[in-house]
Amino acid sequence: MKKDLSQDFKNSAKGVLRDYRKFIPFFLVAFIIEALFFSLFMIGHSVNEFYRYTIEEKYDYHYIIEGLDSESYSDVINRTMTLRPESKRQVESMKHEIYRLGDENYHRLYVTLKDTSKSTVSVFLSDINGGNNGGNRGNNNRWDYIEKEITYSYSPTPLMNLPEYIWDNNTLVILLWIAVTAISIFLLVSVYNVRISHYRFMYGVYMTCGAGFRKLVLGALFEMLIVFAIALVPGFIVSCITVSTMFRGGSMELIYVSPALILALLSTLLVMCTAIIFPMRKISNEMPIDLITKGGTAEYVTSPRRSADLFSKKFPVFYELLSVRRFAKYYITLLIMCIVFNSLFVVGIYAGQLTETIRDTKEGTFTITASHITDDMLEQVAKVSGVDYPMWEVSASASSNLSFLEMNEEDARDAAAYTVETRSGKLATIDFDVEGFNPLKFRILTDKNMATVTGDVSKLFLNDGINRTVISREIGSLDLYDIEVGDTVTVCVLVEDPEKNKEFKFNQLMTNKDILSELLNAEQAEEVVYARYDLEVCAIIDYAKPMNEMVIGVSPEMYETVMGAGSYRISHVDVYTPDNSTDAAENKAYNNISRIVCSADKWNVARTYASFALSMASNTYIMGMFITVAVLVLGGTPVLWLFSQKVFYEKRESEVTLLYRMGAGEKRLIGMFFTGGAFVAAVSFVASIVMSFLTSVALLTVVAWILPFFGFRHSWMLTFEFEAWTLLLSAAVCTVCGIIASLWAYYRGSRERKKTEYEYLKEKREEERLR
Amino acid sequence: MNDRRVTLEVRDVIKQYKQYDEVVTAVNCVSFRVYEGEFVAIIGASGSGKSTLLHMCAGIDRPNSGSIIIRGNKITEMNADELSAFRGKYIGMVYQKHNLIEQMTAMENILVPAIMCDRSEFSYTETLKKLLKALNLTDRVHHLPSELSGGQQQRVSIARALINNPEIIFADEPTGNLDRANADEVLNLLIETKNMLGQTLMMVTHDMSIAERADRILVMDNGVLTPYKK
Repeated sequence: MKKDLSQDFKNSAKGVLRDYRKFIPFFLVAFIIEALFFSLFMIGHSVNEFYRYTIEEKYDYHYIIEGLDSESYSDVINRTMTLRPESKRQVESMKHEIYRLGDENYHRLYVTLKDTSKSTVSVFLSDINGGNNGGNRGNNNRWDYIEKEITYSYSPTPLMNLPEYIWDNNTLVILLWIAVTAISIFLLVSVYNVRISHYRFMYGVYMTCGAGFRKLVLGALFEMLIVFAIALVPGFIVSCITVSTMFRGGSMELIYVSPALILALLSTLLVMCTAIIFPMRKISNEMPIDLITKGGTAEYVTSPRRSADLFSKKFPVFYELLSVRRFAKYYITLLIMCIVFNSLFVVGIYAGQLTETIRDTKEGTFTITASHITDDMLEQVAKVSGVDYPMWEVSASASSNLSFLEMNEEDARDAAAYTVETRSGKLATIDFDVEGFNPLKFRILTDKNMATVTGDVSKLFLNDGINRTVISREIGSLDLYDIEVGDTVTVCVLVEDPEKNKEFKFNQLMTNKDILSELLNAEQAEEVVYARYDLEVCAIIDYAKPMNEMVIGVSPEMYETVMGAGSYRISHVDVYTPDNSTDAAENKAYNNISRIVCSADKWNVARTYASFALSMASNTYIMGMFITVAVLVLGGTPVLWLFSQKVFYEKRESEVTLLYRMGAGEKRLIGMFFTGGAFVAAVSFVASIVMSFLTSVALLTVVAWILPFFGFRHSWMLTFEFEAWTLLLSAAVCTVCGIIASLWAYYRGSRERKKTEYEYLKEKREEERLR
Repeated sequence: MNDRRVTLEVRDVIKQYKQYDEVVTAVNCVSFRVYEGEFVAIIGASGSGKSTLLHMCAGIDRPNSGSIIIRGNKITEMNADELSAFRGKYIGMVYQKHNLIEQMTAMENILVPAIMCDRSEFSYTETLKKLLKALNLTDRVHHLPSELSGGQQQRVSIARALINNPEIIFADEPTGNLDRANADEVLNLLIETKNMLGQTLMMVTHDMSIAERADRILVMDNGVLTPYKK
């Protein structure tokens, strides 16, 4: 068996080296696949190392504990160090700093742990909590911190969360690896299928002589091993050059590590083995006689059962378009393959942009949590030096307490999808959010260009007995309501009366309109009672970000009227600092914010290190990874197209010669080839745009749906974009491939046809010369 | 016979191939004439050069020297496009391997020469009807070549050669791949249509029984053409 294998390998090697021209498409595909994997793993590893040395350079401590007064400081030192025997300490070292808040001194500790295992961290946190190990607060901040009944706070540093950074990066690499592996397998299978279709006769003869699946697979595997081995060095060199060029100008370096290279080689091997199995299995299941007898282009044609009217038609346009129609099986397969790669290219670039948007989303530098953060506290926080602005939200969906909004018909003409007609001839909607505003929030929204306001928002807070509202008219990016300043809308609040009120049971299939209709019917039947509050529109607010629902902005008092007593409560605030904020400025801001909120119940001020994360992320040229992968994937289109068309036109050579002999001159033959090539190129371009559009929309939908599960709250920032250059490049590739393939086929055949002519003329000239 | 018009005249035609360092003379200074309406058969052993001669006469190959004149036109002096157009209008070619276009139905294959040469002087519809009836193809006309038997494919090939009402038909062993019954049928059809349309037929064959039905038999032997002597 060893001898057989060795012999098979030698035969395969001879075949590849002797007929290397026939394997050119495979060399190109192998080059693309190897370049993909090398680039992916080199970039992935380099990014991990960049995170590691950037974080370790800046942070040599895992936790920072702040706001310790003298008593707390002693407690913490005792629990973590003094009272613990050395062998049981979790803390490796601590740096200590004293700072002033008002008239008092406070302590700040920079803690380096012995390791970052779960048990170590758990014991450490328990120690600094005085044995009080609460659960996660459950907000969206990625940094764990623990509910405490203490006056100081603590935050993990990026060093503590370095594994998460690396995990995030590795997750991205894994996802890309899965995509690249699938694409590579598809590419290699497609190219192999073209080869098999060309050599059906040869495979038929092999199988007649006894070659089964095992023999076919081994032969193909050995061929591919040699091909991939030859393409290995060029693939590696090009990857290195590409990645190095990508990193130039940034802070990252290309780091060569054997695990990354080994992973790339193993991935290539996996692709090779997997890709070979499918076509070989398919062909080994066919009957040898079918492979031998069904040669030429007959396999691509399904009987039309009727004939076209060629009488009135001209050659070559109608003829070739008819042929394209007849070869639909072949052309559809070709188009699918090429559209897939074109679309993956466009979607790949878009995915890179989405990843950059997600990664570059600015988070607050600090998060403040407390049972109740007052407006006064917020005003003070906004004025702290080093703070750009605080941001918070107090809002609820109207449907949560079955409230609805009534308005005049002319104010909701374009909102038929969201409104129901009431018995009084007005339109009602349950699709809105009620938001409680204070003056500071309006100021921040307008100063930071997060919204534009038309009208006088200050009227919202007047105590003159008139209820007012500030309305956002948009849902998504669509301006659906025609409400203007001065109009009146009516908010209808369900009066709570458990004895009288009908009990509603809404099933999940009901839309908001269905629910509203049922509420209105119930009100008409006097099964429920609604209290109505007219709200005068004092301003219109247009948010920069698309809103999921219409927003009815009200004063805190009105908010509690609609949503219930005690509902207006600010318990979570994100604090943003300027982009160029220094560590010292942030420390000072932190201290001042802590001083302001420390009087609140259950307060905590946590650091998110968001600006550090953002600056690190901006140095990792993630977009470059996506561009590299996308462009290499796009390379699959010309390889597949040209190879497939070359083989296809070779099978049509006898047909073309026949047409030539029947009277089609060279000009008409060029026209014939050009017609076919241009038509297919045009179809491919249009289909690629449609497919790219659909897959980009699908990608955006999936990403926007999934991300909130991972704590991402800014899905609104992810917008649908179609980069013109990607479409142009995709179109250019389709056009060039379609026309080049057909004209190349023409010129090859023309050379053969003209060979006789040339030889005749050459000999005639020679004859005349001799005379 | 000498009163009739000369359709094909071959003068001192030589065709040589270079095989490595050896020069092979496939056709060695051949001259002959074919008259209008005549059926000429060329017989000879395999490799005698008969097919090469036929191809040159049909304008699908060129001699190294000599001239070939069809209906007063020296085809050896035409360029490639002129020759193509000439073939489409005046020459019908029947191959041994029918060489039908695989994606076209039988009817479409027959009509392909018609769309090459837009000859408005006669009705293709009428010619097509006659041919389909004569060749017994009416029932199979909308099928692909892969759905036809060998004999049917050859009949389609004949119909294709005849659709443009060519002056002269060249047939290169048209019955070579057929059984006896089909071969006789095909030959009868060729002769009948030739007579019906007043065409000239030149056929290459190695089958003496077929050659004997010709008006004249020529023998090709090592590139040299001589009249057949019984």
